[in-house]
Amino acid sequence: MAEKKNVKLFLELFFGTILIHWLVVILSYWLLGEDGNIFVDFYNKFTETGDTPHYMYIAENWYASSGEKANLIVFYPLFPLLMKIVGFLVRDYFVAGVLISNVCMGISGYYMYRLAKEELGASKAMDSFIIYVLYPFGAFMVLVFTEGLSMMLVIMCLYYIRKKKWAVAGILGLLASLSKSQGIALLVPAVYEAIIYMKNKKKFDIKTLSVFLIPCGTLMYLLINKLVLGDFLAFAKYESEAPWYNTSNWIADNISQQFGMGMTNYTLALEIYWIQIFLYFALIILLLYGLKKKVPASLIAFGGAHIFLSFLHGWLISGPRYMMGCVTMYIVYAVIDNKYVKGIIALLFGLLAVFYTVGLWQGQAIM
Amino acid sequence: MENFVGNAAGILMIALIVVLFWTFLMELSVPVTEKTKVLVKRYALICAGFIFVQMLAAGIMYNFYASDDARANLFNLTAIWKSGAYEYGSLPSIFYLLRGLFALALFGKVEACGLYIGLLCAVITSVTAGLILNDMYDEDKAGKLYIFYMCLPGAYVMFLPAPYAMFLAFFMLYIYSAGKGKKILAAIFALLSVAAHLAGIITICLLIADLLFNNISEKYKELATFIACACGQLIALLVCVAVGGGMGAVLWFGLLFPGVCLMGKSDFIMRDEIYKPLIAVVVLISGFCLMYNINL
Repeated sequence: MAEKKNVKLFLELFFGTILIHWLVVILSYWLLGEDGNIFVDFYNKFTETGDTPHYMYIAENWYASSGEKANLIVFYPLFPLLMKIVGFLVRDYFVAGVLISNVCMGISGYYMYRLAKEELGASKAMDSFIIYVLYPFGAFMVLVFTEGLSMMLVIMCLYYIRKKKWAVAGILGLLASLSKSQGIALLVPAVYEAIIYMKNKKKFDIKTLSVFLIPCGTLMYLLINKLVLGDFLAFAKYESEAPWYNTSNWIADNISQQFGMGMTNYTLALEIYWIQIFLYFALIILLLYGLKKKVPASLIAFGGAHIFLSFLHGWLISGPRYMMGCVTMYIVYAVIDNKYVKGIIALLFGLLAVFYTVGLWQGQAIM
Repeated sequence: MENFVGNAAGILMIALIVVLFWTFLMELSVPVTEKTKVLVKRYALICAGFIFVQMLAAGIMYNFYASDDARANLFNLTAIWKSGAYEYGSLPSIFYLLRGLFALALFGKVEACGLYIGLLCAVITSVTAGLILNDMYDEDKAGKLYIFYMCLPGAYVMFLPAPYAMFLAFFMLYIYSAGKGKKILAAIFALLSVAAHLAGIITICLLIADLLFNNISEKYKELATFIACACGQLIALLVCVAVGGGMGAVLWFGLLFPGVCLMGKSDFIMRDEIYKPLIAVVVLISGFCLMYNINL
């Protein structure tokens, strides 16, 4: 009986997550006044958008050791690898990517609910789930980007860390850090929980060492750099060049730069710079609020580590997309006392979700 | 404006890391009472407020007189504050070592690291001062004395990125540990205070005196501490000036703390009719002192 209930819940949340995101995508398409076939336009438009062609290239050809495609080493391998595998079945890498993204997105919604329920109870868990599916840049989880896969792995890893299932958490963390650079931030809550767990048990538990699988994903990526391009840090060199110009700098310098750039370009300020600066400050304050409201410190630590790693990127233009991965934000939202504040935030998220998805359809600088 | 926003972002991240580390220590059941946890939170927040006011005042004063090209955000301490206020010459100090090590992790940002270490030292100094006062007096009196201490002229030396800020932090920790009877911990903090700044010699003298005159009455201990600090300060100041160790004039601040503690014993001074005008005078002098140390 309980198992049937769980399956029912899984299906509701799985399909609910996918449907809500597709509703936003379709609504945004309709708002543009397009009268073509949405799926044909979706295919034509988004095969050329952002990182999608890069993932499709890697799925088809793997990384290049020379030439103009050598710079695609900056993309983490797990997502295109899965595209390759699923591509054998569907014969189209774009469709494979969309399938993987959407299935992973659905599972991420289910685990978001479960993680929140574990911490806060069923009622507040629904709040977390709702704000998660309304996140303004959630459309990236529909498209051929690594976000859907990464979100699923990160949320599942956090869930199993909190359940003290160290081996499962380690493996999921390894996969997460093989899908996106911020995946390694999972090591922080994993080590935190492992130490507290052993302190409470008053003995060393060898199973907790599984958390050190998490950075192995990053090490595997570095190894791929070495095998393909002869340098463990080849990705850093290519990231610092066109078209990304991304070097690691201290957060203060990056935020200063973004603020300055926002002052010179109003449109980009609204689409990229000021939004990510606002998100940075809002999330740090939210994390401190979460600590006050007794949200588990390990989850807060993950949020901090995620933000830390994301904002070390110089010339950051995907800050809002990266901040989607700050899972703690959805948990802390649920513990806000004032229901009017929560309602306003939910409304804001919903409106912005449509605004930014319309921008994606239009080819604006939403990245 | 962009540098201000950037610096604020950096400080917030460091603050989050420090708060998380403190939370981690609490979860590890480091022996701290609930009352102490509450006081630490309270004084940390109040300290942040005091520091912000000092920085804001300095920033406004500086920018009021600065030309358009020379304007600086309030976190640009090297531009706003006179070098003598924050760089204490070339005497060796673990402050510089820690700043350098920290900068290795933070992309070589030595100035930013100095700022963060200074702010952290200020929080440690201020919170420990609050805890000491709460041990000595009731909450109301402790609060008044704490405010008095934070308003004293030269209070900005608590957060300026200099060895003296670090000395103050270790000095306070020494007094707190010694008061709790933790002699080994007190000795460690005394040694660290010397390693931070020459003025730490006073802490060593206090430590030795504490060990030698263990049986001295509590009534005379505090007075003796105050006198020892004042004399030691004079010696340290003379030595600093003689070896070219920087602006000794601001070195007096931290060592007034024993005097502030003694002040609480006087019911006369603590009466509102005396205490409140005294605060008014003190903050005015602080204003002059602050303005004197800004690059106008």
